[in-house]
Amino acid sequence: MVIPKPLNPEELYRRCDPESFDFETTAELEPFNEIVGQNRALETLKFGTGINSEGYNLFVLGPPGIGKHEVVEKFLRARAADEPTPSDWVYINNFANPHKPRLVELSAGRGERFREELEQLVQELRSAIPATFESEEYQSRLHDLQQEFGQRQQEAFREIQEEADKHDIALIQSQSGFTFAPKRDGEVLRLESYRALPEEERQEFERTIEQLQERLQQVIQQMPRWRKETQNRINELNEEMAMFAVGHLLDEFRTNYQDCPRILEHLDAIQKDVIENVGAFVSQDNHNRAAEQLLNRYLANVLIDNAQQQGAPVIYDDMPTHQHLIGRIEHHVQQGALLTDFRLIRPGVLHQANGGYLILDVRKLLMQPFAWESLKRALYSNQISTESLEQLYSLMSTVSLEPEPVPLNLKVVLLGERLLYYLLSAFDPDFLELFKVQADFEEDVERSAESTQHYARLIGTMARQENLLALDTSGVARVIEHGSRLADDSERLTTHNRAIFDLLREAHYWASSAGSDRVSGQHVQQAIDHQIYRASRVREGMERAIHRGTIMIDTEGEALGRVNGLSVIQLGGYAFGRPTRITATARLGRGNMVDIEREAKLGGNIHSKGVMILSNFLAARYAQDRPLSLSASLAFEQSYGLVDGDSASVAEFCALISVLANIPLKQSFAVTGSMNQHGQVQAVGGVNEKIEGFFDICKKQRHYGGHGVLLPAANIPHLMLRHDVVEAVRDERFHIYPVSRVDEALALLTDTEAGERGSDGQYPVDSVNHRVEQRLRELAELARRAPGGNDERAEQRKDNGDE
Amino acid sequence: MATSNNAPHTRIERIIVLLDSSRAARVALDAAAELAARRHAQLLGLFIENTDLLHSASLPFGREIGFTSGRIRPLSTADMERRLRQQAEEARRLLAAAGRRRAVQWNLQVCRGQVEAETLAVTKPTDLLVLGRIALARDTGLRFGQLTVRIATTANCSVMVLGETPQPVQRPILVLYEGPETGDRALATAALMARDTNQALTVLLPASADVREEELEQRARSWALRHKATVNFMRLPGADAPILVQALRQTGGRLLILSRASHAVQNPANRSLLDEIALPIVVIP
Repeated sequence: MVIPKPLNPEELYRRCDPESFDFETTAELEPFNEIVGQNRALETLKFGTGINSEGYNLFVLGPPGIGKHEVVEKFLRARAADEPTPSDWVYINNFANPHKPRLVELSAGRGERFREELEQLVQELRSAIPATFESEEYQSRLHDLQQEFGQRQQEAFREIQEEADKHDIALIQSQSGFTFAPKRDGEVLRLESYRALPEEERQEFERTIEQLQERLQQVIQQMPRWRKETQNRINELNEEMAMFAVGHLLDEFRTNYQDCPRILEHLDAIQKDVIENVGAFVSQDNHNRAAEQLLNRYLANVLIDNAQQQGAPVIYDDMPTHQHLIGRIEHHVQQGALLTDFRLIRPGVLHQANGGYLILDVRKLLMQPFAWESLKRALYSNQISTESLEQLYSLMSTVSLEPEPVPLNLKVVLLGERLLYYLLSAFDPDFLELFKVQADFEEDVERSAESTQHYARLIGTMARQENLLALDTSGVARVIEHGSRLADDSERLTTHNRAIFDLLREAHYWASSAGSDRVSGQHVQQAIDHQIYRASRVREGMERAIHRGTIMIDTEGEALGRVNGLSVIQLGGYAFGRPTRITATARLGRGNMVDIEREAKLGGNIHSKGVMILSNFLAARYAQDRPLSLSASLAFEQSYGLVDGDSASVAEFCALISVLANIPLKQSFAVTGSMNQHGQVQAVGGVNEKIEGFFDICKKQRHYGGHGVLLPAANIPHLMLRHDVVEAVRDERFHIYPVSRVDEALALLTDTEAGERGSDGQYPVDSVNHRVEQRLRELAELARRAPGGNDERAEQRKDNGDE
Repeated sequence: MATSNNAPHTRIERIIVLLDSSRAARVALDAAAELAARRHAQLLGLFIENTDLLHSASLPFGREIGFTSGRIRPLSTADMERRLRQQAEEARRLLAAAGRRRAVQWNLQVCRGQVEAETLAVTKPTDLLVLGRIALARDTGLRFGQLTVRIATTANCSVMVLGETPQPVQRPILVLYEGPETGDRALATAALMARDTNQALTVLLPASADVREEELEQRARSWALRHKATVNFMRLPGADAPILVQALRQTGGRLLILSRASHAVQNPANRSLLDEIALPIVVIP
């Protein structure tokens, strides 16, 4: 077995050569408007927006900060510009059913014009109607009609009066009616005088009075009919005058909207309404509220005005509540009552984006009560029904409206994390019906010569976009290198725009502070260092604790059953590595491996899996033909939180072998890597942070020389280590060993050959493996002899006749 | 208040209001109470039990024909007596309420007889008689509807005739001036009322064959100057009722004051003036 050589400094960090750029600063670079590395997502966007079938809405998946929004919006805007501008939508009063306002569709720009023209019409009606009805002509015709009625009545009464006079009969008015009585000399006859009259005269009086009573009764009973006739004639007059007042105004209007039957119907309704309500228009009151209320019903509410819109709309809503989505119906308070009408219908983003694209953050959408359901309802029905929540759920009953639904034709583009996509797919049966297209964003791109050049132009564009100082080649190179570090891969570059934007802004700040006219590598480095410094309180606290011995980590000497493992701690957006002491104990037992983290319920499932793999590897390798009579325990010392991941399994294995073989392990090394059941070392995550974490501890202890980290060889491409680590490796003060098999790790940690089985099936004497095998054999022997051991149990079975 | 405006012929010592059960009478009562309060005058309610009605009800064939329904109902003396008592009681109640509201002294006089004769018998020259205009009388044109007109033109005191609808208070008080013989007293009364209610006074100057408008204006102006009254002038093409009605419809006013001797009142053909205009009118004897 060949003991691995430490890695060269060049393998620890893939530099970006500033000389490879043919510009001085990014100010010289052409803007880069392409989207780097998102071909799959872009192709999907193209497909999703191009397909015109129902349910082909889009869900754009990717972690926050990757620039989904910018990419999607840019793409959609470019696409929407060439698409037709959608119609204007206008609500008008429904005269037959005022709580169900009617919808009118007009080509873009005509809605507002229609509203203005209606306003103009109303303005004209406001003066034309009273002018007509207050005119001399109308007033005198009306007066004539009323006079005629009055005269007709007076005539009828006068005839009766005259008839009564002729017969010496008085017509007297009482509180509630009329009465007839015979009179003499202007006074009504008293009863005794009347009785004194000759019989014949009395009979004549009575007969005449009876006739007069009947005639008066007829006249009175005819009066309502006469009044009605007069009213009908007044109505006819009103109609005639109203037609004169509004007819020509409406006719002019009608010619402009011949193509829109709904508007023509509206104009007919206005005409009818004016005639029916003439009384209200001609009131003497200066502030004629009734007339204003009537006139307001003739106006239009332009829900969507696309006059200024070029192409299809692209709308993003950062607060997708139920109301924001489907619009709302406002109320105003009048004498304590909540009132509304068609003019108080307000559009939602679905209205605004209709005919185009609506971008929503799925997390925000799901956090708003009822918003998700409302969106689905609209997409399923292909129409927007504006209803308030209280109306929808019958929480409040006030006068409200049921506006005619607006036909919906748009693409909804949801932006969100992958987890939300998968959860919605699993738990909402409607989701995949409505969002059939998933556009998945790449989190990194290949780092090639070409992509590096693109990246440089992208950096220049970003700086320009944010009004930042231009970067020189060293600055660009350092940003690109950091892009690899963010991708945790020296062969790839991150696509997380936000992180790059932040770095550029901060580098700009440091460059400006230093009075530089450009951002160079040192400013970028300063920005990175300061980012780390700002987030390092916890990390420094831990380093201090290790340095003071509060947390026990040895970086010198050797120890039995003890090894430095490496873990990564993620705090918000910042991750750092730290060494953890891993210890193992072993004694005679029945082959059980105690994972203390698991027993204490501090170990995750993946960690447990790692421990099981190593215990099985142990048994398979060293105790193939006898029981593993061992009871071992593994622990992460001074770890008080949850431990998960299998990246410590190589370290755990080495600690256990150390205690079994009775060979101490070097404490100047830290180990990371997971292992499989064949003893191969597998790649793990966060290698950069882990190595830097151990390096920082060693540096703090001020005695680093032969220190180093053992890491899986498969992780070499992921290395993008800090400059000081690379320099320490260059100076041979720090070493990084790639290991492919656990035996290589054992050899490095013990300075003793691990040993391979020879042709006789035996490990070389004094090799680590040989000593382990020997020890396990001893334990097995001890177990056999021990009370309750295998031998004894065999004896007992014999005695009981079990054979 | 012995100012020049309170000369004996314009002084108002007592406000008499003719009460019956009509709505117009209530409006009249309210206006009368307000005037009484303003003038610190006594308020006298007059309720007349119409003997014609009582006699009519006593006849064996006495019937009543409903105003609105036209139904013919039997009529008896007992019924009529009871009704009149109730009406008198109602009149007392209304009068008491109005008196309390305006803080004026009031009396109710109930007498039995013919309305016109009894009313004229009660009034004195220093009274102001307030009458409600009977709406029905206008519609039907019946002779008893002209009762108001007859009283207004024969009473020995000023007579105010009110419609059912109150007029906007911000409008001016109008006075018809046809010369010093008939117009000075009207002017004095108008100035008094305008001052009381702090309102503008507009003098209407009708053209006639006898006097030129300029001359009329000159006279009215000198009267106003003498009595320190602020007035506006408005010329009319004539003093006929139709012209007046038309002019009032255009100008609008709160109250029209005119002399009994005025052409518009005296010309029998123009008696309808009192019925035609909705404005309250004060006829000065």
